[in-house]
Parts: sequence; C-alpha cells; structure tokens
Amino acid sequence: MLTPSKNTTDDASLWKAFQQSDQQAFAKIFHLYYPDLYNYGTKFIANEELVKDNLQELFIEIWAKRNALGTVKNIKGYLVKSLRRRLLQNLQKIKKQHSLTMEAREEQVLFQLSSEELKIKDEQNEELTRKLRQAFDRLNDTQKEVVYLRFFNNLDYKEISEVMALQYQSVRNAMHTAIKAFRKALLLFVYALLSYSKTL
Amino acid sequence: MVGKCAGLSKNSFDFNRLMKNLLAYEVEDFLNHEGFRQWVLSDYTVNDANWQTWLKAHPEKAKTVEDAALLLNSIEFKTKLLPHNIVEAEWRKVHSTINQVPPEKALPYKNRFLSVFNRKIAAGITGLLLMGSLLFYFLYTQQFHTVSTHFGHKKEVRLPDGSVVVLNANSELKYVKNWKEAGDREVWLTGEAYFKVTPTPAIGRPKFTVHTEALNVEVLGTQFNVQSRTHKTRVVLTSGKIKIRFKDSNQIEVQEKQAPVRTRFQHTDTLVVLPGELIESSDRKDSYIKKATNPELYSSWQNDYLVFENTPLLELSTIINDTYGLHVSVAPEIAQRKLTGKVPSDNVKILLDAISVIFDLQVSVNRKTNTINISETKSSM
Repeated sequence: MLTPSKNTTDDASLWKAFQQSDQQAFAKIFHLYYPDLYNYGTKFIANEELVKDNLQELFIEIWAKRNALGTVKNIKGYLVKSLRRRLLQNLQKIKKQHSLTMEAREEQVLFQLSSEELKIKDEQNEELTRKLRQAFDRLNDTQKEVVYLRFFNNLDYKEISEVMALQYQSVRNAMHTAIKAFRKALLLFVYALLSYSKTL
Repeated sequence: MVGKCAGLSKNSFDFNRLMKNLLAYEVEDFLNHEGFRQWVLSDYTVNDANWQTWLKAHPEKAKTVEDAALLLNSIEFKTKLLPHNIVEAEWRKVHSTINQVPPEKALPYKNRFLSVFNRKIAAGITGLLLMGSLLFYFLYTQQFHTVSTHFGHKKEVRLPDGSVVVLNANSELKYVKNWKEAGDREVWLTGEAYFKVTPTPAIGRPKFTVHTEALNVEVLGTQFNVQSRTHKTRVVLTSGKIKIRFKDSNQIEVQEKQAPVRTRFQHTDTLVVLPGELIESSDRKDSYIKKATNPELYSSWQNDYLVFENTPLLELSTIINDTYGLHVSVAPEIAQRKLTGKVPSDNVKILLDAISVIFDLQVSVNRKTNTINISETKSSM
C-alpha cells in the first residue's frame, strides 16, 4: 500500500482557514488527525479517558488561541508534539501522586503493540510475528517511539526530532538500532528475500 | 518539455538530484525516503527504471537497499481503527465547548476600552502610574466569561480546571477568564445548574466556590445541583461533601432523617451538607430547611426527564415557568395535589402531553397569552 503523501500546501491553507475562524476547517483538522492522535496517545499513556480529556483540551485550546498561533506547515506534527507535551506533564503529575502504586507503573509502559498492529505481512507463521514483536519489545522507549511515529504516524525524521525534542542524528540512530533488531528477527523470513531477488 | 517544474507533484522526485545523497544512505535513510518507499511498496513499478539503473551503477549499495526493501515488504504496521462514533462524540464535545465561548471578535470593545483608558493615564498624571496599573490589573482579572441559556435550552460547560457544569434553561453562569494556578476556583450562578467538580483541577486550587445571590457553596470535588431562582434557592448534594456559606445569618430548620421526623432549629451562617441532603429556602425570610432527599429528583432535568415524589402541582408550574418561560395557571381545587412519577422533558410539548397522560390532568395551551391551564379532566365516560 502506498503511504498517503503529505501535502504541505494543503496543510498550510487548511491551517490558515482555521486561524481565520473557519469552523469547517477546524472540523476537518479534528477528523483528519483525531484517530492517529488518539492511537499515539494511548500508546504513550495506557489510560484512554485521560488521553481523550487531553485531546479535548488540546483542540479547545488551539481554537481559543488560533489567532495567536504561528503558521503551521505540518499540522499533524504540530498536534502530535502538543499532545506529547501535555501527556508528559500528566505523567509527571501521576508519578508525583502515587509514586509507587501499581496503576501508575502500568500506565508508564510505553508503546505496547498487539499482534494486530505489528506483524509479518502476508504470513500465517505466528512464530515469526512473535519474534518480530519480541524484537520491538526489547527496544528502549525512545527507539519504540521513533518506530511508532515513523511507521504508524508517517512522520519523517525531521518531524520526529521536533516532536520528541531530539537531535536529528539521535532519531536516525534510534531507527538504525530498531532496524538492526528487526532485520535479525527477519533473517528467518526467507520468502520475502526470495521474492525480492526475483524482481531485481 | 521545457520550463520550470512548478507543476511537478512533490512525489515524483528528481532522481538525478538525489543520486549523490543516496550514496551515503543507510537502511534507515532509505526507509525515510518517500521515493524509495513508493518504489518498493508499488511492487517496484514507480520509477523502477531509474532505481534499476542507479543500483547497477552502485552495486555496493545493493545490500543496503535489499535490507530496506525487506523491512518495508515484510513488516506490517497497522494502526488500530478508532470507531467512528468515538471520534464523533469527542468532536461534539469540542464543538459545543467552542461555541459556548464568546468568539474573540466580541472582545475588542473591552480591549479598546482598556487601551484608551491606559493611554489617558499615560498622557495624564504620571504620578498615578502605579494606581493606573493596579486598576488595569483589576479590570483585567475581572474579565468574565458568561454562559447563558434561553428558555427550553441546556448547555454543558467545561471549566478551565476540567470541572463540568450542566446549565439548565433560563440560567447564567459567570467565571473569570484567566484561572490562576494559585487562585480559588469560583463561579457565579443565577438559575439552575448541576456541577461535577473535579477533585484534581488542571488549574487552580482545590477549593471551588459557587456564588449565588443568597449563599455560597464551597466544595473540594463532588457533584451537586444548585438552584438560585428569584423565588427559591436550593442545593442538593449527590456525592462528596460541601459547605454552605450564607450571605446573612439564617435560621435553619433541620429535619432529621429518622422517622418520625423531628425538627430542630439552629442559627448559623455556615452549614455542612452531606450526600443525599437538600437545603432550600423556606417561605419565611432568612430561613432555610435542611432535609434528606433523593438527589435524582433534582438532577434528572440534565437527562431530559423530571422526577416527582409527592411534588405539589404548584411546584411543577414553577418548574415549567422557570424552564420554558410559560405562565402556568393551575385550577385552585387541584393546586395542592401531589405528583409522583417520571416524565420526559425533551421539550415543553412532550412534557405537557406526559403530564396530562401520566397524572390524568387536562392541559390546554392558550397560544395568544402563552399560558398553560391545568385543570381536572372532565370525565367523558
């Protein structure tokens, strides 16, 4: 499947309309990005209600401050970044409130992916998918988040570095480590290798 | 084809321009490269000739490209679908909230007033500069958001701290625009509202106060109903604990829960109310009644129905008047009749139909005077 290409001119004009109090543009932004933001948020904090509340506040706030906000060329990147900042603040609050309770710790397990979300393409072999997810689970939080933002949210490294407040090179390195881990898991996956060589 | 490539889509990349860069590419760079992704994911059709030529010229990159393609081809990253109704429900909440807040455009009047005001001060007596800025601060902090409802309409308001207020018809809620981290949470109410106060405010101190003409309700996180109409002030607590602070010292008639109902009087200006308790103004001046009740009776209006439990018909007429702005005249012989039951209140017509059916009363509407007459059903059999 082709990943939908980002169209920055569309984003810029949509954002401009939104800033000029066009509620339809605002509705479009909401509907376009809410599902991805929600999915990302619930991977960040395993508390759906908290994520919903934060998203509501985020959208209400950007509407209230629409005149004061600058130009945004990549709306999704901007929203993911704002949501992430809010969730981090919430996470710190939760940590303070019950520093050692179980619930708090459970909420802090970042980026758990199900076998629906991360699996071997066109492959019934459960063992391979399990190996792949194990490889993902062994990554550190930063590496997991980079993989998530790249492949699930289709943000590029530059956008990810802005969202996560990391150096471009750090994002690239995180991806490099993740790829090495994935490739190891995929060594068993001979079928793909063969089909690839045929096309060359 | 001559000319600029302005019309060229962003996706069809200029291969030659990228050739140099590609040589330094690692697997992760190829994965991040839109053109490469398109080529692989289109089953090697988009720009295939270019890629094949480049690969032949740079066999040393074959392994890297192979790895990147393997990853792209064999791993499926599938985002969970979010049910449409969740997105819609969340959108409705955001939509209703932003439409309660007065648009920024409504503000210039106030702002202009402030700036003119400040200019005058600056141009005028400089010695009073400090006083002027104090005044500015005062005016600034006293800017209120006002949310009001017409007859027959309700609104849900989300306050800056995360608390939710359901405002009943013909009511008004005011609160300061800029809530401060170190400030008390305060709102001013006329009419009726149900409060769901969050115990963990996003902003502001834990104390939350509802000001009404006759009394203040102080809470720390709880759910309760407040009615402050011209003829009646009433607070009903659903959960948590609240403290009432009367504007004047009042005589409180406390009706004990245990039967037989004993009554004792106390004179006070503050009163703690517990869940399931009701406090309301009595007919006598400066006098309130505190008694046990079923809180649902007083909060059901939020969910578009009204619950009655030995409610005098006269009180029903007051509710209709407060909520829909219609005058109700009740035939004297049935004014003291008590109603018990549950009626829908989506709109006034449904409510009146329900009253007539459930309580077996004759309800007629005089369109000219906007008056509703309630009388005994004439036996037709």
